[in-house]
Amino acid sequence: MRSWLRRSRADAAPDGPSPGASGAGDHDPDTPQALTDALAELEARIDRSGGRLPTAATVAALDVTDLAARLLETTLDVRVPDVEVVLAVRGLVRDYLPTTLDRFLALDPSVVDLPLPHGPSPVEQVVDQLVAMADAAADVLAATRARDIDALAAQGIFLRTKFSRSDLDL
Amino acid sequence: MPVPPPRWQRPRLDLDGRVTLGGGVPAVTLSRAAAGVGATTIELAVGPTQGPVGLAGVYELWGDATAPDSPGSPGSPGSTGPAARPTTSVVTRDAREAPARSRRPVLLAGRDRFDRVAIDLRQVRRLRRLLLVVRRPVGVPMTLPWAGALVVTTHAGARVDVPLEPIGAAPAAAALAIYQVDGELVLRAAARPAGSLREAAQAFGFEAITWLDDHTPLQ
Repeated sequence: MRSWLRRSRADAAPDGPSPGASGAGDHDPDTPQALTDALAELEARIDRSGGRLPTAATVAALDVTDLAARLLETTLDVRVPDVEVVLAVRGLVRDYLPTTLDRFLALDPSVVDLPLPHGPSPVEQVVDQLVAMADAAADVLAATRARDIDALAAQGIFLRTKFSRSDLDL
Repeated sequence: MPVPPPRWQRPRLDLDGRVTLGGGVPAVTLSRAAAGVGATTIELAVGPTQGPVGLAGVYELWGDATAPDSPGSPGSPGSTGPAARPTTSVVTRDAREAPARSRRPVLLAGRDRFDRVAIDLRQVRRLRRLLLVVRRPVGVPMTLPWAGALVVTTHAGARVDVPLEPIGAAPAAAALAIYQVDGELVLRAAARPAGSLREAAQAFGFEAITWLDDHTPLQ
């Protein structure tokens, strides 16, 4: 996170490199290219998990990666990508989505359909969580496209609050 | 208090709608109206320069006895419960029915002008997922890029085209993934090159297939 903020400030300089330029940022884990690569790896992992994930979870997870890809696209055609957009993509790709999937896939398959004492079954929970994540990512995308800075900041805070480290209650 | 419906939905295709899947629209839901009657057919359409290419459908099906609509059952929307594991195998023009040798197949592969796979929509809830894999004959040089499309049509007149060009040159590729969610079909372009049918299937987590070799599943 810190490295991207540093790059954003450097890019704001009149002669600064473009956001996707190589060079000093090659090892920055939050460049658009690095996040695009991480997104592709995450999609492949979701596909490989298709035999264990509920189909509704698979399609919702892939909706999230689609929306994250569209968010990333909005950073490619601007000189100074909005930090909130990058933080949202970073959170989705490196934390919220993989953490949610990891917690479900770590469960014994024999219990995923059984209701838990304190709530719905893990299958129902993971589907609800991923659908809510797609909703939230779509809201960030809508705010980005509308150039609504206040809404973008609010949605960014919502994403971090609701999904950071995943609130899946398993 | 009623739960509000999700605010965001992937694009939906109704009755006689038409869409091309790709970067702009990676996935589409066939509504029950569009996918609820007759059959949905997926056909591999290529020009003569592509040579003798083939289409295979890697599938997971729930058994007859599974109660797909029971809350919490293994067949409930998207469920993977172990109580009734889905049957996993492959349909091709040579192994046509799924389940194998069924008199009332959920999937039926065949060939007219091109290879095709049809889904019986009266039994759509028995389908868990279906991966359409395009492949060249073993031993054919792999320098030729894929061209053409998978064409998905429904009895109601809806049509979804999935161009093959994004695949590039490869012996095989997962071209389209279809997921059944609560009686609706979600179609998603894949364009995932692979070295073989087996590699394409494994990239999508179809692990419960025994293979005679990289190109031939044990039926």
